[in-house]
Amino acid sequence: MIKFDNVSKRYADGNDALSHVSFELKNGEMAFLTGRSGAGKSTLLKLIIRMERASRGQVFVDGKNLNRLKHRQIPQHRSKIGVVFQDHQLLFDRSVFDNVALPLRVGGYSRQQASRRVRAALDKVGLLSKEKLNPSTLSGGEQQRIGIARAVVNRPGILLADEPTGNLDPLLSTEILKLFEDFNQVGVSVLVASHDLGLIARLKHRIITLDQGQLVNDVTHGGRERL
Amino acid sequence: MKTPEKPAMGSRKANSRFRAYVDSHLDVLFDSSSRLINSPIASIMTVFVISIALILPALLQLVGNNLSLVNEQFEESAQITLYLMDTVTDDQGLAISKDLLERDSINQTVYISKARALAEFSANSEFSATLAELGDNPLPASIVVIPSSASVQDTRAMYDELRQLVDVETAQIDLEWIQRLVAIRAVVQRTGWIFTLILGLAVLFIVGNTIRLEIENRKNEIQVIKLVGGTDSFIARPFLYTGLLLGISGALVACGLIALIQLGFASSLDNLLSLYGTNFPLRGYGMLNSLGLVVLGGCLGWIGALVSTLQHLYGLAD
Ligand SMILES: Nc1ncnc2c1ncn2[C@@H]1O[C@H](COP(=O)(O)OP(=O)(O)OP(=O)(O)O)[C@@H](O)[C@H]1O
Ligand SMILES: [Mg+2]
Repeated sequence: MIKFDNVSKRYADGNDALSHVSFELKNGEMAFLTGRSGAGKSTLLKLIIRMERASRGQVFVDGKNLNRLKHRQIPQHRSKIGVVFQDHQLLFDRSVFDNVALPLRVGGYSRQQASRRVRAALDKVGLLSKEKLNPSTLSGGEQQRIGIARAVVNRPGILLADEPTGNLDPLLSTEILKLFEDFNQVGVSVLVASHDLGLIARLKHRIITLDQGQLVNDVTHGGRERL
Repeated sequence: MKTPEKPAMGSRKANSRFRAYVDSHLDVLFDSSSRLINSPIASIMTVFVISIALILPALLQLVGNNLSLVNEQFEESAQITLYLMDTVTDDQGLAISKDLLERDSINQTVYISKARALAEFSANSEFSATLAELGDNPLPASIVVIPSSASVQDTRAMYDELRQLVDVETAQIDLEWIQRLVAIRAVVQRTGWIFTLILGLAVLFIVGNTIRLEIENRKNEIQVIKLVGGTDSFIARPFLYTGLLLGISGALVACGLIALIQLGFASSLDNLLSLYGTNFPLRGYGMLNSLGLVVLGGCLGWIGALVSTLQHLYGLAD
């Protein structure tokens, strides 16, 4: 489903965010991506949705080489992937409902048609009662959950989450990760970046570890190393 | 891999997919309108500037149309007056008049004897007393010829021929000012076109600039929409609707102002026309022209927005 083949990413200012990263996430697999701050987790996720381009090597998603993706093919590519952004990427000029409805609106739904799914997604993250509010009036954790509802509302085949539990209390964190596991159960491929090692360790999934842009550890549950 | 379901795909009817399409466009239209309404000062100013840019060519068109109308009126009444030699008797004059009427190119002739000319002149003139004192009737007999063709050129050709006739002393043709009118009309219409072109470009520029600022203000929103898979056309859509709405509103305001201007000028123009002894209804700007102006305004607004989005939207990061 997602394949990195010897991928390096150097930003325009000369920062090497990733170097020679190779791994594959199988269809329907769930994995955590971990590593210290600045290790390159967000960069890796951004490469998958083509927010950034690989400087070297190739990224494949669903068999497609993203280096060959044309500008006009990008929207179609992104609509297959639900993303929870580390910096939320919410719109503060509209309601919670409209934020969550956005992926559906982009896909051609009217506000009316989107409403059932939007409410279902908001219900899953416990924000149904706040649909009419502006995100700026909500707490950090609530904003994060708006981002999560938006990422899943479209029922994407791939779910990427960048520190989705960063602002959440332990109970909510567990619930959200449970939600991701539910998606994984119905066949969605899930990749979650997180430094919350305690939480990650309790859940029995594959863990990919980055350090200074290098993939240093890749273990599936049970301790068998993949490297 | 699961792809996101499209609304109303599969077993449901194309009808419902069309419905979704229309609904989502209406949503965008509604959003764009409320954005314009939520910043009333800026919107009103833009709309007003657009309307001013549209009014000038529209007024020139209005004047041009009315001049055409005047032209038609007078080309039809173009006539040649043949003043006969003093030696020609009334009988001879009548005979010439009849001969001329035989021609296909002549629609009507009226013979005016010396006596009748004097009578008409006296009735219309303050100099009748002076004229009576002269004793002898100084006015010549004349034949008024009304050509069948309304064309200025034909009338002029006929004038050139008729003034050569032996019994004709001089001839007079009332064409000069008609031709002047034709020339004025041409100038007005050409100026109208030039203004339409220049001010059309101005409307494109005004709308384009408004949209550029709008894109600048909504950069963050555009970025987020791109991240959730928004296509370029989806992102451009609200801006195109904004341009369309601005153009249409500008044209509607222009129509209103034109109506006011017409009202203001109507009575003084009527006076002017009656001074020239003409009396025909002036052509107003009318429903059809107003509709045309609204369509033009809408197109210009849309195109201005399109150019601006092409220029500024696609320069942003993927
Ligand atoms: N847009 C950018 N331009 C230049 N350098 C960047 C940019 N984004 C990230 N970097 C650099 O790339 C490296 C990796 O950053 P990245 O955001 O991927 O780390 P991260 O693992 O997500 O960290 P965190 O856990 O703090 O979110 C860092 O050294 C960072 O300074
Ligand atoms: Mg990060």
